[in-house]
Amino acid sequence: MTVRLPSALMPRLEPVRLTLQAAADRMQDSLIGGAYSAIAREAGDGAAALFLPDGRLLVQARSLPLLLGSLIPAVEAVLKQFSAAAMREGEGYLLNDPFMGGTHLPDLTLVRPVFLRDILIGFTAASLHHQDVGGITPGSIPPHATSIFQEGLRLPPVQSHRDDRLDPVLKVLFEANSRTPDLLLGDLSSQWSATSMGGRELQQLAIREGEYFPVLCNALIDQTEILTRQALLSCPDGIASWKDALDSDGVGDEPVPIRVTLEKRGDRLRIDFTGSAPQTRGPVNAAPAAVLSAALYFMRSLVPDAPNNAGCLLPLDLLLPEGSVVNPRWPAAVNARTGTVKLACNAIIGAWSRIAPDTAVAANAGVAAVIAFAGKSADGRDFALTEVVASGAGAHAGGDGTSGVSTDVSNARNTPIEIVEARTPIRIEHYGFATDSGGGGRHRGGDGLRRVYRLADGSGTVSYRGERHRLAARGAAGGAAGAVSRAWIERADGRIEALGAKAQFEWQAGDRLHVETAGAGGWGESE
Amino acid sequence: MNAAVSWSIGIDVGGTYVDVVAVDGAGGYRRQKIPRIDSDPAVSVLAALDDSLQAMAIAPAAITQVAHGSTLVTNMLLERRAPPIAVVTNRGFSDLLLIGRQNRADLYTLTPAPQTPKDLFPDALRFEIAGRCDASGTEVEPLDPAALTELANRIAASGAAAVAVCLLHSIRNPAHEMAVGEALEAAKPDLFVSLSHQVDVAPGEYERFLATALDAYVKPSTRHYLDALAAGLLARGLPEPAIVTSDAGLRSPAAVAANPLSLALAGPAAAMSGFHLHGIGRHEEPVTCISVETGGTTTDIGLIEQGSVVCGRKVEIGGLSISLRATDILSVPVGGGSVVQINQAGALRLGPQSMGSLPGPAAYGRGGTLPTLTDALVVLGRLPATLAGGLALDTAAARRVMGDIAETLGCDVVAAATAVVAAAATTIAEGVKAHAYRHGIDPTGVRLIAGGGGGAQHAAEVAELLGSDSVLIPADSGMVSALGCLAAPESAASECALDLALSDAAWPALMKAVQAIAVQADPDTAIAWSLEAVYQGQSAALEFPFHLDRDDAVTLARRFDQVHERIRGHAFARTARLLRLRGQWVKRPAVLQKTVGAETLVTAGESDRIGPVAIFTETTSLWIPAGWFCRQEADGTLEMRHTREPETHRHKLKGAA
Repeated sequence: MTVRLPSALMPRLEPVRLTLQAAADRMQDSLIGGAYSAIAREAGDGAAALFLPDGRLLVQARSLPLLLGSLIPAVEAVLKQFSAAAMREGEGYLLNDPFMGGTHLPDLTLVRPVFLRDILIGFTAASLHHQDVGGITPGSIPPHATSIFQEGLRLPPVQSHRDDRLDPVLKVLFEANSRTPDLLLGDLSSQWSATSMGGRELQQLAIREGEYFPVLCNALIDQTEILTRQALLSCPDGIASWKDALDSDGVGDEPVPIRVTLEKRGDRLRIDFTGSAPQTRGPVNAAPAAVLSAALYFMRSLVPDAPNNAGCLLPLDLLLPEGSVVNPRWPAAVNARTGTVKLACNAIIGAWSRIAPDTAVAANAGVAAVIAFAGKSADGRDFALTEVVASGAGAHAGGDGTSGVSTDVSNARNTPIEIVEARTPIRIEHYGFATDSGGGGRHRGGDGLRRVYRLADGSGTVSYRGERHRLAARGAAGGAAGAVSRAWIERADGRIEALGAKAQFEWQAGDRLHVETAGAGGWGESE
Repeated sequence: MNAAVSWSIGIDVGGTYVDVVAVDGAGGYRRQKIPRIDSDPAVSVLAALDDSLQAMAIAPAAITQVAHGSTLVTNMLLERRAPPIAVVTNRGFSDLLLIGRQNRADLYTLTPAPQTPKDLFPDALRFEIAGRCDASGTEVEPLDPAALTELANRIAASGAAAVAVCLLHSIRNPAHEMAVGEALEAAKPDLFVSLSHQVDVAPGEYERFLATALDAYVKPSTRHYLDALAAGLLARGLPEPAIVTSDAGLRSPAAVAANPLSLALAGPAAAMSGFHLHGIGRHEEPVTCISVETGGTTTDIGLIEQGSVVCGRKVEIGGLSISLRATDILSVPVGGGSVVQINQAGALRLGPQSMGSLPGPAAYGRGGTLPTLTDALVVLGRLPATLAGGLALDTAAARRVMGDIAETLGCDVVAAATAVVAAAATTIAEGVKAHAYRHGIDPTGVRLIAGGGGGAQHAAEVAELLGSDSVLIPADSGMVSALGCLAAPESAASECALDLALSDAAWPALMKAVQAIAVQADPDTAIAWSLEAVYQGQSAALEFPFHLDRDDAVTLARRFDQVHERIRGHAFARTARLLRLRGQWVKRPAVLQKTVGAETLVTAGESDRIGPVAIFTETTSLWIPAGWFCRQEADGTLEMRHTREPETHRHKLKGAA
């Protein structure tokens, strides 16, 4: 099966694909380069995309997989609330409501209609993780939240811009609700610039390609659909489940199971999360827009060459049971969804490894431990530092998994030791692989990381948010599971205090924190 | 021959040819392209030089300068066939180079590759030593002399020829790195040693350690090459060569041997140096130029602003991301050998796989059976029957392989070839836009400079996509790198890491850093100063000029705000933090200050040609699309120009709007 297109248009198709991808990537560059929020700027936590007038994704920039496709439900929600026919040039629409197309409250999504000679030719959209949108803790990601009302200002789809200007009512609302209103408004202007720039590029492309532009766009979506169906067809049919669990919901101490069943028939795939835990009290619930990213990331891995558009969703049925941890009902807390999306993604990869073991990849360790330090050094100065420690990548038929690397939906970098030690009284005494933590097999799973911190002077608090302290990352095709994560405090007097997956503690000069992240699953039976 | 005439020689070594140019002070210009013999690199360069001097009838005694561009280090980093090196880190950190920054380059792969290849420094060659300095440079744990001796002996016995010494905070206090270096020297005097504080001055251990490890990795071979080259030149009565480095300056062989990683991007730097002559001198005001150099596998895109080659701090070679001051080149995967494919959905893709020049495109008749960009150009009649190097093109073979593509696509062979060429131009144009935007440059107003074997084939179509209306094709563009060797000044630079909030209070520390750099230059030398800064909380620094004679904290802060606004769209209401001071000075100006060369049109009767038409010269081929014409200027430069007013729908940059 191939894309049908009149012969005269054939030479235009590839240039349109190339320009669309490049335009989206430039939007992303502009969005992230212009961001004020540290998490957007330093971790790339933002996304940009172009949509067709009917709301189908035309192209998404190469952004963090955590945000792949996350703009699709946002554009759908805007089109549900507002009539496209009534939209005008210079307007913008904004939302962050996880129960109406959003991911979590810090991610504000801006959607801008684009016109050419008064005809709607599409939308540009950009979302960005803002520094603070209110709620009970600075940064708007309260680890102990049990309700959306504790997490910040909730914005269902609203019209935010008219005649290229931010609505003054919204502006005062943001100023009143954010702890860092200047950063919020600055980031919003970066989003507006990015969507405006993307709009101009979309207009230029539509002028360049003329009346056949819509035909060419549809052909690109067809191209992706066909490539995705072909990729599925070339894999064996089957049905398989995978069960894993979060160590806790951040409030209670019970594991939170995630279960996924994959059913692959012919050129279709069904991803069904039935059997996953009911929505939790703590904030690890993941809104549908957030879980969609896990599914899309997996679909894209099947066909890396395909244009990055709505076509790859067409062969997919995604079932997210209502009231569960992957599709919570109002007023669930949702701010800490990253760990859930990572585990959901891993579970999809794990189930797939049972359907297609020859080409599949064993589970990643799936840990990105977040450690936040704060305190006072001996000279009385305050310090604060948050850093992420990655784990191992799954082994596969082609070789060992890579050790100490950010995997699947996230891609956090480490903080250089020379920077940590210059900014805080913390000294890092060891940084290396957690040797032999990767699961054995014909190919070994990637090892986790080992990092040892010592507070050289002063005192402070540490918030440790790890994962996989209980359940190991399993192997594939007969490979063994990786080791679990471990963390402990070694007091200056030699006492050892073990830490669970979520912990908060005080430490004094001379105390050490030891962190070892989990290893990934191995692949194949050992010889 | 007039004995009073003195010649300067530029020698550039490429994959297939050694290019040699000679200029005198009076407009004399000679050139030779010599096939490179398969031999020791220095021997092949010297042989080519002998042949050229004879052919150009220049006596060694008449030569006062030799400038040389080499891809030796680039190739070593690409091929990675050199023996592994030893690495010394602090105790507890021997895995650090392998972990890197723990992120992955390919976001969507399920099987990410390690950031740093382990084969460069295998487990058995990574050593640790106890002893530590803190972030202020204060020693918090001393080195143990006995352990140091023992370590040096183990490394000496390990068989490694080179060692990278990578200790934390060495940029604040180099004493431990120096002590390790001395112990290694004592244990085995012929070891090649790179100390991290001498490779880069900035904090951020992984980037500095990787650069140090790669510096050590290329050191033995570079030293051997430079020694052999210098000895050969001396034996011929020729002067010591000056070597083109990655930032498009010339350095002495001793300086390069001490820091050979500075050659990592020397090839593109020499080409950019040659191109930059077209951004100066030609017109009253320097214009922003973008060079587009299309070869067999990639197209290199470079920037020239205010008459200078634009440099950056990151170099990508062979999957390695190296922190190094170098000409800022964006490579896109389009070249003459790029393979045309039809995917499973019946859609066309060009590259990134390339047939290169061997076996090359089907039309080369060297055994290549896959359709390539060159084959599409042959089908469209845009290439001559015989290429500049004497290679006759097999039109039938090109039509055959492109015919298969056309059949799969369901169109005729000309439409298929048109699609391929359009994809090539689009990929290049999108690369130009991305590169320009990142530097805050509006690509609609720029002049394109086309080079390489295929640059002039695609440049006008690229310009059309950008909304730009002028393309220059330098005369003798095949010699641009050799000419670039002579267009580079002999320069020196020194840097100092800072960590200062930009305010009046920072001034004493800043002036101390200025002094530390200034004493390295001759007293009367004009030093060009620049600073790198971020806003508090950012990590990616921006560089801006520092006018020592008239700047204060207020003007510097304003300038940083402006640069930030130009490149990132806005200025923060925050204090800037200075991270790095750089001083750069010219020790000897470039020999070439304006363009030289000659270009003979093979096919054109008159110099003005109107598109659509293909024009062939002795060394390259041009495509003049409909709506464009071509003319030749007195210095041989060809210019393609749009005949209409430029399009009105121009890109507006964020911040410029």
